Amino acid sequence: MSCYLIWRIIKESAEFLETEAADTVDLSSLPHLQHLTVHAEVYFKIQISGETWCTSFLPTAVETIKTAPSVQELTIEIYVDPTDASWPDIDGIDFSTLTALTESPSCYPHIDLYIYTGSPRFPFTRAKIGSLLAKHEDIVRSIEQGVFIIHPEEAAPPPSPRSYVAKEYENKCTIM
Amino acid sequence: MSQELVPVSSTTPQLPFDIIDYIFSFLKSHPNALFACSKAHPILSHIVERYRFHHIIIAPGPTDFTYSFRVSDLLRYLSEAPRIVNYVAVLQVEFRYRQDAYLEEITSLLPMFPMLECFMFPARRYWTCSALLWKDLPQSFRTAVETHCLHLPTMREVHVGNVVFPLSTLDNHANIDYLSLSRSPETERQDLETAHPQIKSLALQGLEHEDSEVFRTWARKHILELQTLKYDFSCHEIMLAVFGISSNTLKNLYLSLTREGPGELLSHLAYH
Repeated sequence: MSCYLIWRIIKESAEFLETEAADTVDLSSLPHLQHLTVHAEVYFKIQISGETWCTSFLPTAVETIKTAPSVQELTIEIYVDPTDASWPDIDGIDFSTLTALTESPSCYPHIDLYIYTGSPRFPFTRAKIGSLLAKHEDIVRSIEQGVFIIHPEEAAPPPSPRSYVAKEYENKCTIM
Repeated sequence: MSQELVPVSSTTPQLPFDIIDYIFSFLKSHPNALFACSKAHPILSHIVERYRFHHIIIAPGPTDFTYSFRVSDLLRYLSEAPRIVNYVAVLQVEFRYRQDAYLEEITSLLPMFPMLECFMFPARRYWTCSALLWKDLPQSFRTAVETHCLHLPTMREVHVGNVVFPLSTLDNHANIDYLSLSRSPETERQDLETAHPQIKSLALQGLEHEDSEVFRTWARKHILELQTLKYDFSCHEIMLAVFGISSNTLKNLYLSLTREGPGELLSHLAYH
């Protein structure tokens, strides 16, 4: 492994730990914002004890959204990354913070909620999402009222409808 | 509208060519679906062709993406079906390290595509690789990019991945109003008197604290009319700079809260 790579790992890991502990983004300085999309990652790590540890950026996402001036369209994209745990505790993901968006003064008229893993082993089907959110009455009511629109196992569209998205690919050989 | 009819199947009515063509146009981002459609019927294969090649990757080796080509394979393919050059709108050139021979090979390909709308070189930042300097890449490659790809009247979107790129190169190309940046732009002398073309959509990924001064200097002149920002894992300072410059124009914001950068590095460490 190159010295550069070791240096990058140490540097980025230190910055990452700082970032993870933070950081609500303050959007109050953007008075003309019309469409806000927040992508929040949820991921799992196996601790030395063998327990699976879940980290979620969803609370930070909700706090960030609350700082925005009223937007016409709000999109929340939750990417659950199951790859680092052999059996991720998806049922244990805490969606309760979303209830804050159903309360006054937030009260968004329309929220698109995209949830996906991208993994055929752990797909977020509509039924799966329904069962995970069932314990949160406010969210269920908002879904029934058409405030929350659920998009199961789907990524949000790009922010600029005209823009292109790079194709992800895997090399078929080690050295490219 | 053309009256030519296309047989969809033996049990369904025939549909006009234009309708089928319009439906396939929505599948431009799903090349595998288009590939499957092309196998269904020879007529469909003909219609689908111009969408199948909408977005292609040129890579130094084989990948799992259906429309990824090595240079020699693509040259051979184009010699057999030269009409395809008109269908390519997005060209994604992938390289992670200095690969001069490969980039010089690509040089001969770049002028062949007259309808490019988007050029990606490479598409994203590679956290496990150091940045490449634009001026260190082969002169022939740089010239081909600047004089052919960026110069096309159809070109409007540029994605700069693992390359430290002089953004003043874009100043002569007013059509380009979307920029995706994954490394700090190259430090350049800024001419205060020059009228700079304004970027309407900006995507930033992985810019770091040490990039902020160079970025701000560029941004102060180029994002005064910014409407859309996609912000992935970059330092807060840069985000605040963009908000400060574009607060009165920014309408669409995509904000990513992830561990992407170091996550990739840590996975790399675990793998090795």
